[in-house]
Amino acid sequence: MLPPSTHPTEGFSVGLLLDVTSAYTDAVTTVFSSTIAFKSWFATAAVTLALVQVLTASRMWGKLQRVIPLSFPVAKRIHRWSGRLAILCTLPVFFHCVFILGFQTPNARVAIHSVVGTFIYGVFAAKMLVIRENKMVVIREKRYPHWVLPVAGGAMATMLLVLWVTSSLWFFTNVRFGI
Amino acid sequence: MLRRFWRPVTLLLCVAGAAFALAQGRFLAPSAPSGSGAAASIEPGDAYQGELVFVATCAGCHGDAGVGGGIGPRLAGTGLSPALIQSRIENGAGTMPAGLVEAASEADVLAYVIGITAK
Repeated sequence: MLPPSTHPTEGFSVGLLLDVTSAYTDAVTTVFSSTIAFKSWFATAAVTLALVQVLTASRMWGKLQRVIPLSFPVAKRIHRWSGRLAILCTLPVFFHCVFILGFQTPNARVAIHSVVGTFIYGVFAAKMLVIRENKMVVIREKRYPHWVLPVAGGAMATMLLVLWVTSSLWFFTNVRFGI
Repeated sequence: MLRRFWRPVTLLLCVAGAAFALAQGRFLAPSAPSGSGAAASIEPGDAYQGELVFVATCAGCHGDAGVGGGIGPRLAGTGLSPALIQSRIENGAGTMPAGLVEAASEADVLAYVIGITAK
């Protein structure tokens, strides 16, 4: 129980925070056994979609054409929607990690998870900015070098994979595999 | 050429900094309630770590989130005192053996169980 507040607004804000937490926990545990299981499965969905991202991006950049027999427009559409869905899947995980668990370093696994997690939305925002600015620039020479987007996308996918390995995979193999 | 990167790099660092600041705040982190009954003799630890141990060790009998369903009694919402919870964790009761939870995890499990038993 939180310490009794001495100020009316403090009591209100503490009550609101507790309401948010309990509403979140109640909503999650109607389907999943625990909030951690929920987080693990959403992270798994995000990393699966990140794999789709890597494959479709490869196709868009002229690679894996035999393996992925998709036209460029189809690959592009799938890439965009899988990216949107992946980010959507990470939002509740972000909520849980940032607002409930916070930045922690009790051991190497959690420390790596915390550090990489801190940077992932930054890399995402930077990648989106590069895409946006590339679209707005007409003169090709003024655009970002062509390697920037694959590097940024590859970094994001790698970071998601590291986050998944240090959380969901650990949970599934050390605690419990199931919803 | 590197001058072109200052905007995305600055954005990256700002967003990462904001995420770090929010994470340091842990605004919604559950704090173990003290309960209405007798206090435990140890300070409750990290409820999140306790949940991990509970899922692996206790949920088989007490059910997910302590809602019952196994051979162990329901814990959720029962309003057990922290002292009683600590005693059960350390000494067991009925078919529950003592020492199921390692000493290093006891404070964490205590924090989690106090949280789910709160009415």
